[in-house]
Amino acid sequence: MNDMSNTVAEIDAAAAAAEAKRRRIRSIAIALGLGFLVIMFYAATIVHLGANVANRAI
Amino acid sequence: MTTAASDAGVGQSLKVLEPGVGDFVTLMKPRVMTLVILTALAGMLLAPGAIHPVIGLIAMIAISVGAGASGALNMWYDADIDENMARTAARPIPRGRVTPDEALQFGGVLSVMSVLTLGVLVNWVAGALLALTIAYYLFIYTMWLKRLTPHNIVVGGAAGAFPPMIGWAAVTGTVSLESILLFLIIFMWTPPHFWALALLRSRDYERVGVPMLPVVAGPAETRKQILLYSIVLVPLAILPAFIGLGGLTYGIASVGLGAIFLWFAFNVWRITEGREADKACKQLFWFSILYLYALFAILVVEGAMNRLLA
Repeated sequence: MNDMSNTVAEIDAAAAAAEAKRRRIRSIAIALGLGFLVIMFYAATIVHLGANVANRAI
Repeated sequence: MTTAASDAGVGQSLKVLEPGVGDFVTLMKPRVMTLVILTALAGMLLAPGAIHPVIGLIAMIAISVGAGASGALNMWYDADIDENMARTAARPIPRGRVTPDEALQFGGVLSVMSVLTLGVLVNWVAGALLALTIAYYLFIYTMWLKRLTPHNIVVGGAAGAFPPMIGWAAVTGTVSLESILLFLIIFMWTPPHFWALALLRSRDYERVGVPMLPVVAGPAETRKQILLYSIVLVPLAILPAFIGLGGLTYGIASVGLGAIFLWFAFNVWRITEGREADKACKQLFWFSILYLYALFAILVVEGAMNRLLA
């Protein structure tokens, strides 16, 4: 009986650890994706602006 | 003792369920993505007009990610079929490496982001075509036609044929007859390619209730349809050489490779029994991949050369 409750507790702990790891991987992936998106939008903005910013009349 | 044994078992089983980066890459169907990249690049390089290399690269990334996202959504919806077919049983969802919810979120987020990126940073015609491609593949093909009609591949094949049109639209902001021709080549190529595979895997499709043509109409009708589609495909694939899309190299390759394609399709129609029949289907299936890759690779090289020398 004691053995059984120990096993259940260990399964719960292992499942929680696995879930935490999944969440961590997901968070890292979202961060990397957003970072990449920011770089793409920044690069595209620079290309679209081109020399227009530098040539602006005062 | 019981605890130690259970502990090892629990650890092992949970380890199997943890997803890795590779599982999410697999969800995006990387082999299909390579064809999407190649055909979209061909559309982009052959289109009249100029595109800044950075914007062109962003367009290619968005198109590739959009294609991968639709692959993930397809695997999410088809998980029940995939687990019962030998060809697809090792995919991440049937293996328990990725949960269906994770695949849906992954595919959904990437779909929205790829369309918005293409629309905002390149142009909205290309963005709308990418959105149409993803929606067509998920709703028209995966959810509706695949389980309903033996013409699933014919109509659904349009989804795989859109990328050169999207690449073209990324440069020109329009859809033209030339880009529709590139679309039609892939559209007409898809049925003989998939039906050659379906002839080999018809028992799998029958077991999971997918009405592929060999299951519904029988192998003889499928073989006839493969030959008929091939007869339409080969001249269509030669046409770019006559309207200025392809050069001399493309013209020669499309005739030579087209003749081999027709020969293999003829063999599939002619040889109907035994191992030789299976061999003919395998030959056509593998050659059809080489055929499409080779034609579009030549278009890419010719398009790139023309732009560099212009």
